[in-house]
Amino acid sequence: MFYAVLGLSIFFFVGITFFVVYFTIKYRHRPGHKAQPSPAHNDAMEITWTVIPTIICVFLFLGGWKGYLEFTSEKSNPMVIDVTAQKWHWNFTYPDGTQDGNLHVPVGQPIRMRMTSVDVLHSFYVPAFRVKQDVVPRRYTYVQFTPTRPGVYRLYCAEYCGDDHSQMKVKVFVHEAGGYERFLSEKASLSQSMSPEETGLYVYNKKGCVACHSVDGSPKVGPSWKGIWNEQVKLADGTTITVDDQYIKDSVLEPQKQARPGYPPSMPSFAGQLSEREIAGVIAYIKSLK
Amino acid sequence: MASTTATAEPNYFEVSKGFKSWALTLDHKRIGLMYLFGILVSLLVGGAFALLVRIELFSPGETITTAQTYNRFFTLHGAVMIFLVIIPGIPAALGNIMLPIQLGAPDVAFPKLNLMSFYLWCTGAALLVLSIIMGSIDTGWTFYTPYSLDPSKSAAIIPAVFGVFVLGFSSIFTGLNFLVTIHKFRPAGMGWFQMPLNLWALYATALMQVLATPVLGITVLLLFVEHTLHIGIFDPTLGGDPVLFQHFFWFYSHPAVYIMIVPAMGVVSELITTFSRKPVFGYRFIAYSSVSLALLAFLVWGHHMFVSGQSALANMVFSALTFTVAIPSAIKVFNWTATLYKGDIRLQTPMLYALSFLILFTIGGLTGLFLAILATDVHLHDTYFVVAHFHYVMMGSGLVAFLGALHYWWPKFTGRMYPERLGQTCAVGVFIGFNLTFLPQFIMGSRGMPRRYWDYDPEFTLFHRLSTIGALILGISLFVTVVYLFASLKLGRKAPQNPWGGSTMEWQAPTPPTLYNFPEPPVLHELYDYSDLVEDGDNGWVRKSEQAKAKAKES
Repeated sequence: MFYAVLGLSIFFFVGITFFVVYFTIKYRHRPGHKAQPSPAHNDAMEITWTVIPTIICVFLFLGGWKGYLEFTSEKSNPMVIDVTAQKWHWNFTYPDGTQDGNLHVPVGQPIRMRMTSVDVLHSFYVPAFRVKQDVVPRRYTYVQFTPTRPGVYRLYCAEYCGDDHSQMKVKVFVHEAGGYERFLSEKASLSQSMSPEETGLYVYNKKGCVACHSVDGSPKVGPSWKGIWNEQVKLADGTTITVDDQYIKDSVLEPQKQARPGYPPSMPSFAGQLSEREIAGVIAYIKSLK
Repeated sequence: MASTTATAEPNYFEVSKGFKSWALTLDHKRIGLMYLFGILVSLLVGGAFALLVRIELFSPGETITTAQTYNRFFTLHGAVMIFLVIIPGIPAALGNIMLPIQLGAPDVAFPKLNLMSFYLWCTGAALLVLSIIMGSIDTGWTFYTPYSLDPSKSAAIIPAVFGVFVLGFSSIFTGLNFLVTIHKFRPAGMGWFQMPLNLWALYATALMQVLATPVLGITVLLLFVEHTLHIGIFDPTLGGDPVLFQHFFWFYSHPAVYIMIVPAMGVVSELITTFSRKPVFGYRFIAYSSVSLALLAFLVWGHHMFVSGQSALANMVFSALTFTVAIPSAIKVFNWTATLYKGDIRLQTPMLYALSFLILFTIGGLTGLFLAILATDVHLHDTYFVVAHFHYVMMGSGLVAFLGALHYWWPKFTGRMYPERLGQTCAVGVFIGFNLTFLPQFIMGSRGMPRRYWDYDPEFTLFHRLSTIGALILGISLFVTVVYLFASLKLGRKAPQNPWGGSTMEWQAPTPPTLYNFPEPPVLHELYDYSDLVEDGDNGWVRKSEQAKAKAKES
């Protein structure tokens, strides 16, 4: 379709440019040259160049509509992957509950992505698959595709979402037979073998904490994690609280309930996005940041 | 009103002096000139932001600034260029000056309202400046929710949306004024189909300004209310629908694209006929297509939202309707091209801009097809392909036509000629620079380069570099243009009454016009009939019939 329209466009562009340039040269002003009379309108001609583009447009519309239906209509037996987008990372949840920041899919398997955002609009875009769909907070949107060739592709966020919009890109791995299962089992054994601190560091980097919290004391959108363990901190309502296991867990699940003053209330709840093991990892990681 | 005494009547510059005589003027030409000044300054500001954006993109990663600052740059570039430059460009500045004169009228219908529009424009511009001081918006010019609802950014967003609200009223009042003027001030003998095509275009534009802009006002007002009172229209955490904002926004902003392009089509019609010494081919088709574009513009807003999550049915309807705007646009291009046939074409600066317009608008229009077709739009949406497409339409066509019109009427309303050779050079510079900037963006977009990206993958580096070089050529050409135009006010040769041999009524007014434009009532000649006009050296073009009359009187 793209190339058909490209051909058509080039045809019209070359045609129009040719006439503009040809007339400009042929009828340019020069001594002795005068404008010659010609009809000021010609209904037959004008109707022709109204009707022909109309017919072309009808075909273009039909072609585009057909192509659109092909890739939006539901495929049989798709693998459903849940997508959570937030500033500025993606989280993919596979049918068995495994989560990862990159997208892994088996080749030849129809995929249906069920997507939602926890903050602002994002857009799921894989140029190689020719698919794009906005990801909207409080609403599911869907996108489907069937990867046909194994390889590594780019996945971008295509709807402007703030400071690190251009960094919100990850990889799509299209695995050959068996590769997807290997990924799942490696992922499972990796998370089993990690110490709590390692799990915390992993969550920090992969689940988006890094976008707003520093671990070296430098200021970011949210408070730094460095040296806060067991410290007394002031809350927005004027009371103070000790940063302990319970406070960290509460802040992950209900960030605004005991928020610290001076930070925008932009952190979403991570309830359902982090397992108990991962929350424990975050606590252990913060503890280690002296 | 118009005094019929001798031609020694002072022109509109001489008639009164001093700050107050300008600040409180009701003269449409002075108001138009003040608009023009503001718009040219805004053009340089918006252009500077564009260059900063392009320089940052010269290399992947950080080139001159951080992602946060870059996001502010492209937002300000868009907001300034759209709300302060292109929308008021042709109607409020040039239209204000030329519309009454083309009608042979002394002024617009409501001169006081006209002055008020200007001050609203100034207020809106001041509010945008205030929002820059308050931390500056980084939402893109589109203010998409819920990103634009971030309470930590209220301080900058509130003045910005309020500024847009006020600018909207400026636009509505101008539109209203023009509608009434065209209805009521046409001279005896000038029916609708004896009007210059520029007036048809301004009429169609005014219609859209009056009908569409209130929706923008409501939208930004709701955004304002959402920020201050948190009522939950757009905010998903309060049960609102962020996509609803897009519907509201594009219901205005799609017609806004036609508010920018239709007047451009109007002036291009004038330029092509004058400089090829031929009547416009298919006058009625062009006139009707302006009005039909104005009406169809209201039915296609959903094509900005094919991947936003709206239903497949809505996508189908909007895709089909979108093709309807292709047809009037195509008709116009064919008719303009046919106007050149058997003409006597002079490539002075305004005509160079008009021919650039023809080619750039053709590219802009044809690439629009890719975006109207559902199957291809899904891939191309929100990529550089879209960026390139709308720059071809809004800048390559809108702004290029504005520049052509500016050069065309400059001698009339300033009384001075601009330097022709320099003008031609800059027009060619604009054409080359523009294409070099935006052609590579089509290629990047079709290969999947998303827009509004501060950083990009290394494979796109070459295209980004070409684009940046093009932008610099474009920037220099525009800057030189603004400089020589201002310089010509002092240094330019005195302009004759009719330097281009135009057939419409404004060329009968003295140069520069008197306070009420015509010391003697102008004569209505047949529209776009050039047979009576001949060149007379430095006096520009004169009518043979009048020359003969004057001779007969002498002898």
